[in-house]
Parts: sequence; structure tokens; C-alpha cells
Amino acid sequence: MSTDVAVDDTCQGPGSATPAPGRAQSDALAIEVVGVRKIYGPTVALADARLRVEPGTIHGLLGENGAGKSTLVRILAGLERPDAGHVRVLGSVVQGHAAPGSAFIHQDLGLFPTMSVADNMALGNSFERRYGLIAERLTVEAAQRTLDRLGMTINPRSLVAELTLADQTAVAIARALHSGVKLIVLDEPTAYLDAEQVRGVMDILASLRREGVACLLITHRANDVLETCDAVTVLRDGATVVERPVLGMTPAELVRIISGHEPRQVDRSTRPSDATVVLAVKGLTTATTKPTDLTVGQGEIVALCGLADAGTHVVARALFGLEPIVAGTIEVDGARVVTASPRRAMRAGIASVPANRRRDGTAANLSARENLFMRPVLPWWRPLSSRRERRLAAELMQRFLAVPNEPDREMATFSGGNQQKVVIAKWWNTAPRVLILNEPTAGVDLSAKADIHRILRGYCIEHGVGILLVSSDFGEIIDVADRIYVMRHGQVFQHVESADCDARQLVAMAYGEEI
Amino acid sequence: MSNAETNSGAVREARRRSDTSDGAVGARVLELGGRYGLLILLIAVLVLFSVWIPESFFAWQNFRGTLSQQAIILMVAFGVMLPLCVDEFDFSVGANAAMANIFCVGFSVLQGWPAWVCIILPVVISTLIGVLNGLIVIKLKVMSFVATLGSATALLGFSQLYTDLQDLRGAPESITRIGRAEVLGLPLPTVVALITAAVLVVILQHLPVGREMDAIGGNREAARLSGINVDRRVLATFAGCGLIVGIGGMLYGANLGAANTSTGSTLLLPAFSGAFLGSTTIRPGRFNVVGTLIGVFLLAFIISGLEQVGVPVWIESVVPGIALILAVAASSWAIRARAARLREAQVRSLTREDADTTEQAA
Repeated sequence: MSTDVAVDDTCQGPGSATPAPGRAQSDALAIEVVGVRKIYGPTVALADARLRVEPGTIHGLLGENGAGKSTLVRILAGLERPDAGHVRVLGSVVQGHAAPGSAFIHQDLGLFPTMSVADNMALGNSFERRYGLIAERLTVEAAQRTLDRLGMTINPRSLVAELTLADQTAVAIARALHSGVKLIVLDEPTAYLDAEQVRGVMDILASLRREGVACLLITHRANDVLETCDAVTVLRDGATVVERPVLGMTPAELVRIISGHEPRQVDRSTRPSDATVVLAVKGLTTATTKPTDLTVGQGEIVALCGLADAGTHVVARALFGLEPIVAGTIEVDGARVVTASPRRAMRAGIASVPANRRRDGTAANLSARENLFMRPVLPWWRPLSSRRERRLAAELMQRFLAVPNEPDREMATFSGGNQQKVVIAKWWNTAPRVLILNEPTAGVDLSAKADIHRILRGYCIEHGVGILLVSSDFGEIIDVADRIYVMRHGQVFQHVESADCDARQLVAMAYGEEI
Repeated sequence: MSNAETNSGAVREARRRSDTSDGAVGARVLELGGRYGLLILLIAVLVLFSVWIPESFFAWQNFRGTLSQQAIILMVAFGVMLPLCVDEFDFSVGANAAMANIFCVGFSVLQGWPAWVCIILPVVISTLIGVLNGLIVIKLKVMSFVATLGSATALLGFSQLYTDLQDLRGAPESITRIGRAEVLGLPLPTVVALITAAVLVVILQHLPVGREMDAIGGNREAARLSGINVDRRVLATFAGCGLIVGIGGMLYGANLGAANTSTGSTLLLPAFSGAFLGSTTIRPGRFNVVGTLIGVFLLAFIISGLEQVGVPVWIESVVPGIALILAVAASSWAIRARAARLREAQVRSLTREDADTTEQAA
């Protein structure tokens, strides 16, 4: 409710805020999380999360995908209740809604594209009024003052939809600040921005710090952390494993504390030495990725590896007809194929397990059997035989170690890992030549993950299928892939044998750091 | 699978991990109650009125009357069920059926066309209207809710244009002979409705296309990524819907030998209520033929019973309206209760696992 927005554009924050280097202050932490635990269905999202953010600092929250960052943010925002532990934001216990004085900027920013910048900023707070009606001019002026204060050169009258993504991110931050917040939580604000734009956003965050605002920054980018953050907290498998200041940290160190993965010895004795090429992609170009060449051999597992914005998923989507192809050719078993739609891709022998199981992979209210045979491979007049289906489903589930082996159980009643096994098993029946796996073990617990990896290895050797693995879990890539294509900014930069590198080097390559 | 020993070990391990059986008899009773609850309710209603007003309700004449009156509602309910299976609405079913009714009578009374034309042409037109609805939904990407609300209103307008707002009556005997024919002691419209039910059971529950429709209704994107031609299936459900309600409307006209433009509005709600009530039973959570049959007759017998007891006429609108809301509320409650029970079981098995690991550590 504090409405002190008309502050002169100096470095001094309004009223109570202390000047710049007030980092040693410990009277009230901006965020204090102790021993938080959260269980979603069968998965433990947070086991023992700890997080302390000092006021007037920029704090990095790091961790691999699935480490629990997003769950922690949801808890901080009051969207989820922790099962155990205690959470204080700006000194008050979070209950059901975000603590007053805190703002959360998610990746989709939550702006209204068809409204002006000024209206967007006012919507979050309050419009300037005259005679009880909205005063257009005053609203714009108020927005202008906040934008000026942050050193932004955005016209408050322009529509949000017309701005670049970087400017939209800036507007989202400005909107949060407009209401005089003391804490901003940003979820990967820089994932889709280029270096120049990132610099702009980081400058804004630095100016917030001068006003005594605390920032929690979730990011995958090493530079964001090393150049901007004051301290970092690293989550791994739902627990806080590292809490330390950034000062003096090297890129290599950062990568190591994030991945925390000791290279494991994997049995590759079964790997075919002279694999016939089953998938050959030449110069595949989409709107956002540059020409890509890659091959996958029979019985081989090849990984596409990269950060969120690297374009690995775009390439995989294009191969399955979900992304328009601008140029390039695709060959399966030496024959040129066109994959303009999933149906045509399937006809060409390409199958794809989608990344988002819940959204794209399963029909939760259907049984496992119905999910396995969503599109029965039968002539239209041929009645389904539930006995035959049940037998086949039981076989498939047995092969993929999906438990309980009850094909008629509703899909929603299986745990995440077992659902994923069913989703992968579904493609077995279609006898593909190439199987694209998008994040095959995201949100899957460790032992199910190991099952899936072992089965996939056996499957592709047994049937001479080529597997293209797209994963942001670098440890997984090292564990199962034979060869790895590393992508950055829509382009393949490196091509390595997985035997020749470890997860740490892979992370470094994906970030584009030399170690 | 190279290493069978490791596998069986892994299976045992994994089975332990996801063992969610809570062994409760209560859950089983709830499950069965949810599955056959509506059927039990139907029987209860029949028994109640039979005991209450035995002379008028518990009579073959009453049952037969209700069966034949409900033929048109059943057909419309079956029609509307098809788009509902793929998560689409068709609000034009009432108007479409009324249209077939009007054309069947009108073609003979106003145009004097031969009986076979009056029988076939209205059904063809209704099917084409269904196809048009489907095309609007898949090609123009209009929400089916909106598209069919629009087409329903337009159809009403066109039928008013055709009849010039006059009631049509006096269809020739060549038509009514068909509409009033009897097969095995049942009126033809009822028999056709039952045949339709049988055909739909085969299509929806035993043919690949039914599975594909279930998949589309369950998760459209997953269905598309499984290689199902979603647009073509959706179009087919609208076309099938038009065909069924067309046959229903035409037979209704042939049976009555009369038609008026307000018929459509009286068909829509009982049909929707029946289909939604049906989705709470037999295959809970899914629209299904037998459930729809039960749902329609439940409403019909409640209303006819109440009429005979002597409640005022407005009850006829109130009962299906409230029943629709209650049915949907009940089914969504059942789904939520079930999900909550499963979540509990999963948390319990997790805690058990935690305890196991701690034991092992100690």
C-alpha cells in the first residue's frame, strides 16, 4: 500500500530503505527458508531446502532441472504450502498469497500484451484517478517516473506486444517496482535474451540493489551469476547443497557446484562399432535454429545437448513435424522422407516421446492399456480385443518394468516414473526406426530413471533402432548417449564421443565456457 | 533383456515402491456405488412410484408411453454424446432435430413430395448441418460452444422462414404409417433408438475409432502426437451427431404427423442432462451409451411419476435443469474424492519407504 513512487532519480531509495552497501544488515532477511520439504504425489520435490537472502543483494538460485527451484519459488509465492519447514518472506510468514512487498516475475512475465506499458504498470497497483475516474495522463506520468528512475527508455504509451522480449522483461520489473516492492523474484529472466539484452536487465537489477531491493534470480547462465550476483544457493535433488558468496568464484567452480556429478562408469561394451546410419539429417534449418547436420546409427543413442535456449528441442520438434522446416533434408534408412506432421513422421518411421508428459503424453483419465493403444494399429472395422490388448499391455509393462502391472488401472494412479515407462512403451508397438526421446526422465525418480536407461539401451540394440535423446539433464546424457552434439544459440558447436568427456565438461560446453 | 535376475529384483523393488493398495473395503463400495449408483437410483424411482401410485404408474401402458415419448430425447442425447466424447459441445442438436421434424412433415404437407423423399432428405440435411458445424469448429477454429449456439439460433430462424411461423399438421398416412409402425410391440422410433444404442456401443467401445475418440477426449495433444487425425475425428463426431438427431427428428415428425418450430428448445436440456447423468455411471467419467440410456429414463420416469402424482407442469423444466447441475457436481466430486484418496495412499507409501530406508541405515 505504500505509494511512494514519486522519488527523485537519485540512488537513494525511498523512506526506510538504506543506502547501497547495506548488505551486512541482518535485522530482517528478505527471504528465510529453513528445512522446507514438499512432496508431490510420488516425488519428493524438496527434501531439505534452505535459503537466506539478505536485503539489498542479488542472490542466485541455481540447480539443474528438477532440482526443486521452481517448487521453492512456488512456495515463496504462496502458491504451494510446504509439508514441513518454515518460510518467511520480508519477515512475514507466507500464507496462501505472496507476502506484501514481494513480487514474482515468472518466465511468461504475466503482462497484458494488448495494453499499454503504463496500463500494465498501473494494473498491478492502482491507476491515478481524477474525480474517481482513471486519469490517463497522470497514469502515464507516474509510469514515466518509475521508468526514468530505472534508467529505461521505454515509451509508457506503447503497447507491450510491440516491445522486444528484453523490454517486456524490463516492463515486468518496472511494474513490480512501481508498487514499491522490497523483494523481486525472477525466474530465468534471461533465458531467451542475447548478451546485450541480458546486460540491460542486469543493469536494472543492479540499480534495484542500490535502492535496497533484494533480488532472487533463477538462472542457467553462468555469466549472470558471476557478474551480477552477490551470493548463490545451489539446490540438488531438492536439498540445499551449497550456500556461498560469489566473490572470487571461477566459471569452472560454478559449473562444478551446479552439476555436482561425479562421472560414472557406464557399460558400453554392447555398443555397436560399425553402426549403419538410420537417421541422417543435413542442413536442417528452422526459424530459430541454424543449419544442423546429424546422424544416428542403428542401435546407437545420440544426444542433443544444450541449455534451454540452445534449440535442441526445436530440432527434435522439427524432425517430428511439429516445427516448420525452412531448409534441409531428412533421410531414414537412406531414403529421403518428409515429416510435415506427426502422422507423416510416423509413417517415415520416426517416433517421438514428448517432453511434457502430462500435457502431451498421457490421457490421465484413460487406463494404461488405453494409453498404450491410443491409436490401435488395426483396420477400422476390426473390433478391439480387450483380452489381446490386455495381454500385450501386460507384456509391454513387464518389459518396461512398469508397476503395478495392471493395464486397466487409470493412468493417473501410476507414479510419474511408471507413467513415463508407459509413455515410452507406447512406441514399442509402432516399430519405429528412429525414436526421439525428449526429456525422457524429467520428473522421474532415480531408480525408475535407471530402469528406463537400461531398457532403452537394450531396446535399441535388440531392434536396431536409432535413438535421438534430447535432454537438459547432462548427467543423463553422459550416462546413456554414445555420441553428443552440443548446441548453443540454435547451432551445433561441438560433436563429441561421450566416453571422452564428463558432465562437468558438457555443462561447460553448453554454456560456451572454456575450461 | 539380458539380465533376468536383476530384472525380477528390480520389479520386486519397484512394486514395493508403488504399492498403493489401501485394502479398504470402503473404497471398493464407493467404487461400485459410483459405477452403478444411477442404475440403483433409477430402480429406486421406479419402485417408489410403483408403490405410491400403483394403478397409474405401474402399468405396461405407462412404461410403453414413456419409452416411445423418450425415443426422440434418446436420439438427441446419443447425438450430443458423440461431440462430448471428444470434448466438444453441440448446442444445435435440438434445433437440428426440430428441423428434421419440420422438413419431414413439411415436404409432404407443403411440397407434396413422395414419402421416401420426406424420410431421407431431412436426414441428409441434418447430417450436412452437422458437417457444417464440424467444419466451422475445425477450420475456422471457432469454439464449438459458440459455433453451435450460433448455428442453433440460425437453424431456428430458417425453420421459422420455412414454416412461415405456422404449425404444420396433417401429414399423409404414407408417412405416419412408418412413424407409427410397431416392431415386437414397440413403436418404431423406440426400436430405432435402441438399435442406434447398440451400434454406438460397438463403435465407441469396440472399434478403433472409439478408442481414438476416447484419446482425443482424454488429451487432445497426446492424441495428435500419437498420430491420430484429430480434425477428421472431430468432424466425424459432428457429422454423426447430425445424422442421429436427424433420424430422431424425422421419426418424431413421422410419428406425430405434425411439427412446430418450438420443438427444438424442449429437446436440448433433457438430452444434455441425460448424457451428463450417464457419464457418472457404468464408465464413470466418460460419456457412454448405456449410462445415457439410464440417465434419460431416470429423468423421464421422475417427471412422469411426478406428473401423475399431480405436481404442476413447471416441474418438468426444473427437474432436468437441477438434475444436470447435480449430475455434473456429483461426477466432479467423485473424481476429486478419488484423486484425493490416491494422493493419500501415495504419501503413505512414501512415508513407508522413508521408514524402510531409515531402518536399513540403522
